[in-house]
Amino acid sequence: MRTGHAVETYGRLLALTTNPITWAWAGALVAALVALPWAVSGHLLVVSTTVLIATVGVVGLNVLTGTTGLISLGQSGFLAIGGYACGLLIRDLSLPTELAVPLAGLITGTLSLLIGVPSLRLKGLYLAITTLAASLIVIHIILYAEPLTGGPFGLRIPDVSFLGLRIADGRGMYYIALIVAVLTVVFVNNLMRSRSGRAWIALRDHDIAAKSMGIDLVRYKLLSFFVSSSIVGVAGALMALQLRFITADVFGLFLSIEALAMLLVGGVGSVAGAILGAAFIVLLPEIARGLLALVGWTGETGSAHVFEIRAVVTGVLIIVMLRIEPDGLIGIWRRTKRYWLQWPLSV
Amino acid sequence: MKALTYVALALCLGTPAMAQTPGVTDTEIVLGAVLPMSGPASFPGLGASAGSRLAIAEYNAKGGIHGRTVRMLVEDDGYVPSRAYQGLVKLADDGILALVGTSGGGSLGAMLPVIDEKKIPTMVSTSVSNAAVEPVRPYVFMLGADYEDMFFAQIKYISENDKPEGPYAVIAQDDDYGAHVEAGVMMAVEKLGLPSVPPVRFKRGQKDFSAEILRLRSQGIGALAVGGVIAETPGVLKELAKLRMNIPTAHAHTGAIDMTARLSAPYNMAYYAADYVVPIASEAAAGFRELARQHLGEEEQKSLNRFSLTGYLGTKAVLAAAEACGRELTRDCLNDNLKKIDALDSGGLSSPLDFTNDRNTAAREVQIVRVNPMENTVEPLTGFVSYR
Amino acid sequence: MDYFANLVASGLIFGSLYGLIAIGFAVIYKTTGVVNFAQGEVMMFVLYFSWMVGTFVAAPLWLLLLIAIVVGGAFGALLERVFIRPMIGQSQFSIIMTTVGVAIVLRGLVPIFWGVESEPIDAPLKSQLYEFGPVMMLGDQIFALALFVAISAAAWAFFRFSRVGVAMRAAAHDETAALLMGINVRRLQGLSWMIASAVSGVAGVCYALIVARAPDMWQIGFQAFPAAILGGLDSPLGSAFGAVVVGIAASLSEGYIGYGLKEISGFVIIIAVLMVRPYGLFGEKELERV
Repeated sequence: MRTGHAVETYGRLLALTTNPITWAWAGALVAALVALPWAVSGHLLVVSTTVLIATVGVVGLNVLTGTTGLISLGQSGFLAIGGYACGLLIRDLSLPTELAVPLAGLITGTLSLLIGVPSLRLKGLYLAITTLAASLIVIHIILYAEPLTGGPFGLRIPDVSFLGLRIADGRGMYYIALIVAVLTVVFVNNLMRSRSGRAWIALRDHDIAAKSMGIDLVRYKLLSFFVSSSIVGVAGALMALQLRFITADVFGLFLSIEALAMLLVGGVGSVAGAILGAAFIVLLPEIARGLLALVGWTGETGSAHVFEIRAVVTGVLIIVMLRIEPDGLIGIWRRTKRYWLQWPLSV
Repeated sequence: MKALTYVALALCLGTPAMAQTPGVTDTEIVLGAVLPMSGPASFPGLGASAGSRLAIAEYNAKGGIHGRTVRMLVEDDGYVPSRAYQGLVKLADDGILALVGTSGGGSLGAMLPVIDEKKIPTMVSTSVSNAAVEPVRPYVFMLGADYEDMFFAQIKYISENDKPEGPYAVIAQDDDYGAHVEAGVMMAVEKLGLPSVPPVRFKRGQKDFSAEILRLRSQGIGALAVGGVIAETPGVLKELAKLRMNIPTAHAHTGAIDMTARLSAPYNMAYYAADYVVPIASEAAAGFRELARQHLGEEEQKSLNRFSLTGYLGTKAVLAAAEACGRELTRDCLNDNLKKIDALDSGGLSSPLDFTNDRNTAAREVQIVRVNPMENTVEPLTGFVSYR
Repeated sequence: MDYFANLVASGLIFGSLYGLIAIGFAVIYKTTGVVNFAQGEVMMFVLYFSWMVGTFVAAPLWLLLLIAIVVGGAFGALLERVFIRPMIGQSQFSIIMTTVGVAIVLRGLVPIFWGVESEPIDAPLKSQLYEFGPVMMLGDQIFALALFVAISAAAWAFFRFSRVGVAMRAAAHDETAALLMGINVRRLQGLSWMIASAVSGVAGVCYALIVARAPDMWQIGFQAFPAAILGGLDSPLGSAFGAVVVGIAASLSEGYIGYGLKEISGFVIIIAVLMVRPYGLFGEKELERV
């Protein structure tokens, strides 16, 4: 039986995990992910790539919303900044992709401070709507800055390579997304255990109390905005690389809502939850497709309603998930884990 | 280890089968389409898919194409580019000979890299797009006139017949379609030496045009081109009626749709529209409607609209090319035969289809119509005329 | 001056549509602390359903309005009972996301039941032109404006004078204290959903009259956000006022600036206003204690 153990040194508190078994499992998961392209076909590979990109985006959003407690509906705006920054750096400045992607993140992070500063006084839904407003303004500017962004005609990204992997190749793009996703998860997991991470959690739980304990609210709120948006910007850059063509339409408002849904369905505040949520929501249309195919409804029968019904099923699944598992998928995971770890003593 | 060897062997043996033309088996030909089938933008998608199915049903009723039955797989993109991209990859996985439905705007933009990568024979018929034929690809064909031409034609017609007093204005939505409308009007104004005012843009999906029309009224405009899809036409007419501005207005092909006319009826204004296919309610399309009664279910008949005509013609061209290939159907042969089509009978639904030009584009000839919403009539004013 | 007056008048018209939605947002937020992201979708569903009933009995406009109010109230109660009440006790965030789920479902159900084609309401009101000095308005626009003013006044009177309204304010102010005073807070929450949905039924009729019955009419719900935020989410009358400001600002920004600013002007305004007043113009500041 595994039990908790007292942490004796500061170094151990900072360590990612003190348990070698966790490392082994993480290693096995990564190995499975590396092997995946050899097992699945084109479409599933694209869906898997999308899951990985969404993971990066939601892990980023989780820093702001899950960890610091600042609800953001501005995801689509940050994704758009990252995507366009990356696309323009590659197309117009011919920067290598390895440089363009992180730069796109930093540009997004820096620009996010423009929204972060006015948002310092805001809370809850007021903040959510402000970030929503900011993202609409970003999309509007992109659409009207035609000389720079191509405006309504969009931005086409040439077929470039990232660490020798071609973005136009399904497997190549998958590995690019996998590398970035793994780096992001490790980075954020480390950050959560650092001084900043703990400051953010204190902010989330009660900002006035945190302030009275000497945590600089302005500094840590802005840092959270910066870190979160940088990661989201990187996700936007990956989206641009995957599609190789972006317009303002790519970054619709639904992305912001979807990202929050991923966070909630997965479990707010946990990196593992964010990953599970991203996978669940991206796979949801496929799940709906499968469920309907079971009863013999496919797109081929001629009844056009099947597509609308898929959308309805998606909505219903979200509602059901929130109802039966308020802690998100990570809650199910934790309970299952505890059950088997403590078996046969478990109840 | 033994199992692995078998797998490897199976893979090797499987390879020649893969080299076969995608979407073609001994008994079947599979076509694909990515269209908006759900959500508010599904009106064109539902119409187009019904049209394509009609063309397919027509061929299947005649015994298919050299013994092969045709069927079509449809993926829904909800007019979201990333979903269009995923949908097309799914279709490519399932195996399609050709793509006959391509959604529009950003969705087509996101599909083009995949089309290029896999060299999928494609018929762009739902919504014309310059990106599809610039550069010209040997496997991408298009059906329909540019929006530039449709608006050039109407402005020219208005300047010759209505001879309005004031300058010409254009109000268009802020996407690629709107930009083409703007370009068409500006081209006409420049070439014909007409007075004009700066173009006005509005957000796609906008419902209220009061401020825009007030602004145009203050500039004393004499004619107005409206680059909207459906609801924008009644939206603009309403404000014109309110301000008693009885000026000629030009609209896209969607202006001639029955739904648009119905929504515009309360405002007592007739208007122009242009299209490269005939109005679906017209005498010229009677044969098409009869065909639909024979081959389509009730639900699909209800969703017929002008996009069904374009979907039908585009799919028909692809199937005609496939038929010309005989039993040995390959993508190269399909492309070659599509390129050879120079006068495919459109049944009077449009000008005869001719893909032999330098843009691989057929039916570029435009017909101007006058829509009278009060009487619910669409009256052709010209024949199909080329403005190139 | 004519130009300005006409711009303001036309801003008022869409402002009143935003206002009717925003009042719905505020009524629910005030009593339950939840923003109903499905407000626009509820409006659409109620309108489509009432339209169906109305066509069945060949209802004139006033009767359609009445049907929409009744259907709206019933539908609001149903939504609250089925989707929201079981979620009580869970985070505000989860409840809001549930309303997003409801929104997705309603958006899909409407085209399944009633098709994707838009329909106009056939009322003689639509083409009647009225002139007030230089300002011109159509009959349906005046109809919407008048209903908006009437409902704003009714909302104000309800929260100010009626027993139930005062109880709702009490529940919003301090739920525990209200419970101790013998107020059935749960029932009040259900009631707030009923009121909000009935008001959005009215909004739906006005929208269908001015624009059309269309499967994308839910989008106005999201455009009404700035109005609700500007006035303060917990103040129905403030939201109504916010809607007027947002409507007029949109009209003026198009009239004098252009560049498609109209549809986002409301969002620009709230960023500016919230920097000065973080709880909107009329919202109550929450006092926090450690």
